[in-house]
Amino acid sequence: MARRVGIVAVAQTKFEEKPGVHIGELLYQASRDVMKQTGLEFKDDGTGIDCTVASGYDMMSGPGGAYMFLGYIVGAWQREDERVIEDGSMAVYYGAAQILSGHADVALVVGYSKETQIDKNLIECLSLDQIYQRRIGLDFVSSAALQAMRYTTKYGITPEQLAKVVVKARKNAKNNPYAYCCDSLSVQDVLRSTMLCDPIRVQEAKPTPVDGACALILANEEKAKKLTKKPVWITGVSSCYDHHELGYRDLADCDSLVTAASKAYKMAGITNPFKEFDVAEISEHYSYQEPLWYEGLGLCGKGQGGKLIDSGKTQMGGELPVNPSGGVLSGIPHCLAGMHSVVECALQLRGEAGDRQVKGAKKALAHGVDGPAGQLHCVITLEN
Amino acid sequence: MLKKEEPQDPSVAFRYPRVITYKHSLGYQSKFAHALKMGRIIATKCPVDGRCTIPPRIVCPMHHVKQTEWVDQGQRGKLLSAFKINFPMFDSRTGDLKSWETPIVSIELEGGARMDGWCSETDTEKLKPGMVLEAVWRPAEERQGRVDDILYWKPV
Repeated sequence: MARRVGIVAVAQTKFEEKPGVHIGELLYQASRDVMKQTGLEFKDDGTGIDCTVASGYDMMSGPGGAYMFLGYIVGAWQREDERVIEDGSMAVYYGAAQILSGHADVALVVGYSKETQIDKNLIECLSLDQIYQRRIGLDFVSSAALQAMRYTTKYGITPEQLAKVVVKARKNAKNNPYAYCCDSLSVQDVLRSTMLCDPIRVQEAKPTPVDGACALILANEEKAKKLTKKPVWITGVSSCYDHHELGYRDLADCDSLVTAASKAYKMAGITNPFKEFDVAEISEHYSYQEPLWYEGLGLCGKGQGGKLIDSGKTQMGGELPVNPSGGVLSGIPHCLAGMHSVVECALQLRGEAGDRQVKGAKKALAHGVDGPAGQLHCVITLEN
Repeated sequence: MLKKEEPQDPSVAFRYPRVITYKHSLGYQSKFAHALKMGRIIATKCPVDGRCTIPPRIVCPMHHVKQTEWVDQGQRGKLLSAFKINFPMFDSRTGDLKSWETPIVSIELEGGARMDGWCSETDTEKLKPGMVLEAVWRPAEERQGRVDDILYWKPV
């Protein structure tokens, strides 16, 4: 990148069911945290935050605008206020674009999700084609099941390999005070759990409902260096959409992720992602997605994701720890997963990840996904 | 390939009715709802300039400081503006089309906060800014802690 964008502060709430909490309280907690860390407010003299970028589905929140409360919560009324109706990683991308373009010097990026307000599957169903897909009851879970079946069949990925993904996630989540699920599970526990949507079992799906919020402050290079001693630089960013229609794609592969990753890596000068990254946070809403996304991200060859899981190289202490936070399988709400990935990567690169810290992490890979069967992918590369 | 004698199909449209039930948490605003059940209107107060706000806010919308004080707003207020809809509109509570007989009014309450509601005076010619209106409540046993626990505002 010609200019650099720095992450100068990150925050997250505890992820859990918060049925008695107003949306505004979630936003307040995360946004105040990053504003306190930097001492920044919204000001007219160019010394504060210039704009907000927020992510989320309006339909998930019920109000016509998921962020109708944001202006007063962060003190940003009569300011530029942008929305990204997708995964939170896209809001980070948009915030970075605001700064790279020179349009803003400092941006507040926020996201929240309150799954306890609504049946998540009902809203996800509404995201599918209204004439052909909704009529047969497809939603994100059933789309994922179709993809899981196709992927595991084509490449011979075993149920045991997928169960290991869940065991790893929950084990890592034990070290993360913000995680929702951190129970000890064995491979047999996962394989014995109730079948949710064949071949996906309950323990292989993202726990729901979960509520929470994340926030970041992004700044241009000059301001980032003044605002923090430990800026984390966004070195590459890209996203890519595949066909919405499942039948137009081979679900065993994730071509849009390949494209998004290759563009982000090119921007960052990454040529061997498995060797060059020290840590990765990948949005795996279902167990099969982690090995499949490994392949799309170029961490291994096509059909090799299961073997990479077996190798243990992506566990804590391995060559490339993936999801030290516990990832989405430990309970990160819909729409927030990718932003959470960026937050966790930033903590790793600042050396502030506590018990889940990957020692000496210098380069990190953050990933977000949205849409049925991984239609949209966003890849963000980071360095300290 | 379609046979030549097949008629040109007119455009097809499907109806897609869908019921979506949300459970909106009021969180810190629950205090406001509990007060409504008791026939009281309360508002959050800014510690900087004393301005009261409805809807109540966890932080002052103007000064961005946390608001912890609640202030009783009384039962009366001055009319700021009013309008009457002369064609059927969606009832946002039910989603049904409805003819609105009563005007909607914006009021500045005795405590200083502003809120909206319905008015018993259906002749908008008689609604003048500055006139005093008083809240008329549902019977106590029917109140649910919602803003429509106030049935309407009537001129004093």
